[in-house]
Amino acid sequence: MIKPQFNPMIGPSTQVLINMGARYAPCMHNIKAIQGATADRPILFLCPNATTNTAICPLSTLCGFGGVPDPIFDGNADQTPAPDQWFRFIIPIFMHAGIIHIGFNLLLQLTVAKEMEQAIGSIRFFLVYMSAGIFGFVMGGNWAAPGIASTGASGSLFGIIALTLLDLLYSWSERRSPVKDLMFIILDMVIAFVLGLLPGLDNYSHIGGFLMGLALGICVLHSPNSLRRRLDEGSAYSAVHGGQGLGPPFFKDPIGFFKGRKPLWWAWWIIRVAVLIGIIVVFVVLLKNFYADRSTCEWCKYLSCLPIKDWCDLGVIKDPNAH
Amino acid sequence: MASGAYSYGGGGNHAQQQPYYDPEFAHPSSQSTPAPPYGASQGGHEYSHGSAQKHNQPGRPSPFDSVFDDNAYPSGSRHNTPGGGTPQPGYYGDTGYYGQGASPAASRPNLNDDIPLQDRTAKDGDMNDHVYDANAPKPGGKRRGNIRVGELGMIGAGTKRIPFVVYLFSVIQAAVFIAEIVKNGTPSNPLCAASLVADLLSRNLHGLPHHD
Repeated sequence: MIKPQFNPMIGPSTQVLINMGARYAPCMHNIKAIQGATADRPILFLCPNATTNTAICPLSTLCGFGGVPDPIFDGNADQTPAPDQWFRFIIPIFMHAGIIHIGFNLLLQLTVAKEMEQAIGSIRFFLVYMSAGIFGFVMGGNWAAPGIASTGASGSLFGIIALTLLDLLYSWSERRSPVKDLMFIILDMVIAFVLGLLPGLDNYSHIGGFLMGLALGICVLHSPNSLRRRLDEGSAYSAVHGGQGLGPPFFKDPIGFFKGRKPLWWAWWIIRVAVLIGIIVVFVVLLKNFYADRSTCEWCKYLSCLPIKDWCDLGVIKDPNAH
Repeated sequence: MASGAYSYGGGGNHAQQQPYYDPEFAHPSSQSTPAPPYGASQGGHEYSHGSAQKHNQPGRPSPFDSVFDDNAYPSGSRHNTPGGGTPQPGYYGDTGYYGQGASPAASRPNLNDDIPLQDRTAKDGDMNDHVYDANAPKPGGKRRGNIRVGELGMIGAGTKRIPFVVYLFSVIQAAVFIAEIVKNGTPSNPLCAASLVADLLSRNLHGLPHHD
């Protein structure tokens, strides 16, 4: 936990996390500072079981899972084949960096997320949870410092928190004290964002997960309550629909589903479709940027670190550091 | 046509009626039927329930009858009608209405003022009070304040579905974390949670860098 570097989350070393599937860009694509380095100043990697800063192993050993093409350090940043462990966008949702990390996340998951799943059902919940988590890591892969290994279900949980915010906004007039509810959520987000600026925490997971949760929530949640009342729709996510305004379920009668609908119903569905298309576009653009364009953003890392001491240098791949 | 589940005496005023139920007339408020002709011919008289003064065929129920009527009161019982009794339909024309445009005052020109029902109708403007409209939502005034801090406002929240995904993922995450600890290496028994925690803490806290 402290070797080769102190882990504030009270957990395994970064190298162990990388070896077990953390989001770690050098295992996922070519990086200019790595593959583009030359043989006289190669980038070195610590072994998964390293306890000192001198236990050097090839990148392939560190990455594990059958290995990746080791950089040959010929100065060519576009080495082929390139590392391509794409599953590192998904696996880290189930990993955590330490006791504190998993403690907070499980607390949130077993309270807020549990209620949300009971409210919206398992399928929608699964969709939002996984999409938000993956998108958080995709954002981090694009804009966080390349040497940072990132784990945690925080992105997913932030997606669920976004759903609670949407739920609050949709049912504002039915709340006893909506402003207080909003304050709670905002406070939660602020605390998480501030904590994410600490070294070792990846704010991109939080930010990306939250944005994806908002967008997906518009798509998969019911319409705002005021809209539902005006459309006189049924009131449950269950398969048995109530209310006079609802048409037949879509799969039983696809054409009839769209008949006799009011303009507001159409308007909300158009918004949903537009947001869904937006989500797909953003995903595609970010993935393309990650794998092909690889444009970087020098200031972006400051969304996830404070320029104190060398905090913002964490994860920046510099030679000749042994990472 | 009426279903023949009852019988009427023919013609004249009858003191007693057999109780009946005619599904045709089970929802009086949804029908709008004209007031029966009130006039001198009826003035001051008792009236019998239903059929006698209406233009209907014998054996057919009066359109002004209602399932909510209490048929137990004979014609002479006007003065001891119980205070909580149902409104007599013939008096009002049909079960829920005053008749077309008729008001309580207009339709009782010949009645004694000390019938208790008069007071009741004077303050109860809606004679549909025993007809329940199941679909009518409560007015918005009750809505605010139903959802407390921390609760979900989503309709459907609070259902008792089992959150399979949350439970499954939590188990997976805990298991993966234990595997991480094991892989990280620990000298003591990896299955002993207490020693695990102690080991983690000692490894991390001993090496805390000093911040100035």
